[in-house]
Amino acid sequence: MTTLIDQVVQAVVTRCQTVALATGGVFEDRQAAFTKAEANAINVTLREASAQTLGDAHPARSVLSTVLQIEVAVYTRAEIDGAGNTFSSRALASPIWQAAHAALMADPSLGGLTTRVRWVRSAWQSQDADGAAGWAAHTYEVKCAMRESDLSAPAQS
Amino acid sequence: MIEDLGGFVEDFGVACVFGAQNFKAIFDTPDEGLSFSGADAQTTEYRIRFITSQAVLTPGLLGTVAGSQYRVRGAPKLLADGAFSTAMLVKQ
Repeated sequence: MTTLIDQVVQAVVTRCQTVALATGGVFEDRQAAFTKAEANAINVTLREASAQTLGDAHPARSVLSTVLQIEVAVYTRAEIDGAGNTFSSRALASPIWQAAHAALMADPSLGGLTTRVRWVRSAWQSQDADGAAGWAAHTYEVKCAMRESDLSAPAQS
Repeated sequence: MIEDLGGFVEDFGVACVFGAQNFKAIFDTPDEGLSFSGADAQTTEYRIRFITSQAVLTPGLLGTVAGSQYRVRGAPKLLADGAFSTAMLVKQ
């Protein structure tokens, strides 16, 4: 049995897997370097989880208001044109992010696991390469509720 | 005295054609890692070393190296006394 946190991360991965533009695949917390052939890809990483106890202090009755920081990072490789200009990594990644965002927001409860999914920040990086390598990392704040005594399922109201 | 540089590329040089320019160059293709704050990336650094006076390569110029097509990635760099230059390429 997995925790609600694991189920939420898997739900994010599953929704990102519906993004047709992610032709290189969707991965979770991948450590191996991405090759040129694997662009365009999405890498989902759970960055942080924190909780605040709500209500009754008894572990069996109290609820944890849990906030997850999940990064949805889009990997691209940009070609160079005949004038020597490299296509923007941000522009390449944006349609993929937009599709992933739409897939997440189609059901912000992620199948009843969460109470909220919200985009909170992004960061863009690129480096010169055989086709400029770019990462567009988008962080989502995911809120969910679980019983202090049971981390495996969302707390029911 | 004018040095004959041709011998440096004669044995191991490969044929390069960029526009009307035909020349020989030493061709290297090392893989290198690129560090990002998240997952890293890997790149093949297609690189030719050629006699500077034999070719004018501009960013974006399309050509062939050993029969395969490449585009010039950036302005070539002079090496040491400038007799040789290197140019980074992108495989097409």
